[in-house]
Amino acid sequence: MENTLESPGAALALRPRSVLARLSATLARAEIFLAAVLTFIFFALLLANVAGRFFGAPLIWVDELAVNLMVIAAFLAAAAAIDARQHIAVTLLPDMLSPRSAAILRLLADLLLLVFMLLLGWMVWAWFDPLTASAAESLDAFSAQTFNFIYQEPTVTLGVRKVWFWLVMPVFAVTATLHCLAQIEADLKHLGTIAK
Amino acid sequence: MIVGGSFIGLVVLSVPIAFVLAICALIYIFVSGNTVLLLSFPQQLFGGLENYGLLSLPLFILLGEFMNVGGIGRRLMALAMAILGSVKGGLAYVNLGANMMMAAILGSTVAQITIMSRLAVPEMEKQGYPRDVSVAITAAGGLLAPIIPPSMLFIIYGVIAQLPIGDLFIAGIVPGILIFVAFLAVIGWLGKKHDFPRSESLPFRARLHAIADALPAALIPATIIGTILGGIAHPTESAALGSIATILVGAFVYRELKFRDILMAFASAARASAIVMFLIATATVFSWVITFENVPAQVAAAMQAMTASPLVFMLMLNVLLLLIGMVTDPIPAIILIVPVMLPVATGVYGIDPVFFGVVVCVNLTLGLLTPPVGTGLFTAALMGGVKAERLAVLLLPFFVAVLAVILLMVCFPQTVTFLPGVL
Repeated sequence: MENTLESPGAALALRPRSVLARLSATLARAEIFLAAVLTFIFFALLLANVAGRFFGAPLIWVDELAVNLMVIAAFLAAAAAIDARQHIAVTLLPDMLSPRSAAILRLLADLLLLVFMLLLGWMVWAWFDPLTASAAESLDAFSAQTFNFIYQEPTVTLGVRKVWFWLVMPVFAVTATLHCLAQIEADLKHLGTIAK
Repeated sequence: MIVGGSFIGLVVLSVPIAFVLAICALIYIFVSGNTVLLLSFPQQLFGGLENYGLLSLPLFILLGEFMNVGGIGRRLMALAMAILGSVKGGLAYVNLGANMMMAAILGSTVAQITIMSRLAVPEMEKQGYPRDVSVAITAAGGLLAPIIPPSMLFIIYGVIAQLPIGDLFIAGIVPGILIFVAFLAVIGWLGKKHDFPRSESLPFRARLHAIADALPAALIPATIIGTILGGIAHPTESAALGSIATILVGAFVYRELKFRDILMAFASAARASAIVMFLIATATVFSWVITFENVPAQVAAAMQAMTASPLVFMLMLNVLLLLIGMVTDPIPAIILIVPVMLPVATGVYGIDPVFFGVVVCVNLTLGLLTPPVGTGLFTAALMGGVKAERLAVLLLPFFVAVLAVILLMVCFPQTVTFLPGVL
């Protein structure tokens, strides 16, 4: 069930890896590192809140901040999981196929992932609408003009705009696309070695 | 139709399930012409995870990572040994008892099988147990992890069904104990069949020593269950408190947890929880689609045409869950089934949502140990060096035991609903 197979690139580990593969791997390590740091922070925040409540001084902003940090950590590490091929898939069909057919299927699945990531990137672009926003006189004017309130949305207890947390979505769209591309490159190489 | 067809097609093509859900949601948006929804798609993805209860998921995974190295599992096993004394098949019962205690700390079968295979299987083999039977008992013991609180599956069900996770945890206690008792009976029977060796009774001083040594370790499950049962802390906070207790006991009492391990645990927890959380995020977007397409109402109408009895509905549901459990793992199965079946269960048949969740989760855990797709089965086979096919056969009596408990729960829902009602 869990797609724990080594990525096809692993078989070629002795060959020098491409720039794209190395970039994707380095990026994945950075994403996991950041996600781990964020996990540590929200873990510490929750403990602080338990202690605060015990001493009669609960911190109202902790829960909202902890939840938002968790979401950011989740998207960062979810992008890295594409590089490690750890997202859960039903592998009944590829397990039954010949290595060559399985490799073609894997390429097809990764291409579908790429299409989705590109679409997500486009949706995030349309949502943030940076060109219209920077052309508008002010962010208020942008919202009035487009009825897109992305830059106005407040947080409940934190006193900062929600958009600072939403920024993880464009980051996710870009890095996940990159990881998809690296996987597709590895799939193609893998197919090439099988064909030989 | 188009959405349903692409859904099945994409799953079969081995596209990761999280992406299948997201892609199908997009397909629906395009087919139905509601393209205005595209603008809020990324916001929905983000919003799908903004849930306080969900914080307990990475925290319990974190706790499991600390457990991996903290020397706590070994002490709990020694504790079970010291308590039991000289019994035929003693070590097999000790294995199950340690699994029960571990289940009160861990919420994932795979995590528990990983830890217990290393601890229990070599010890049992040394004392003359057949290796494959030892692995089977350890794998079965892992089933207790997601049923005895804390439980990964109950957290995910709670988030999707919008129920208090604490209530679900408490509701899992009686079914967990029933399964434990049923497994004790299975081990008793196996002991006669395979002539298990008798465990030696430890001298009084050694017993006392083992109990004293295990006391700090035993404090961890006590902290978690105690704070949840007593209503002192939200499950999220009890996970944080349990983690800090594990760090303190592992690093300062047993001195086996190193600073480096602690850092690595955060990275592993971030990695493992992100996979589940991304699945939940895309499922939230997907449940939009299900609501728009009115799938639950269609299923409800179809079910109503078949039966009016809640009992028959639950029996049919359990057969369906067993089949689904065989081809997928419990987490994606919950994410796919609950949004469709829960409204039918509560709306048409008046079934209690907490009871429904416990039955669904217990049933789906069986899928972890059934071929052709069973992460727990393959983990145990790999760790224990036994063929998965052989292991699946040896696990059959344990499956029968769990099925008996499920049948008992379905016929007498009070077994599940009683405890949350009292507390």
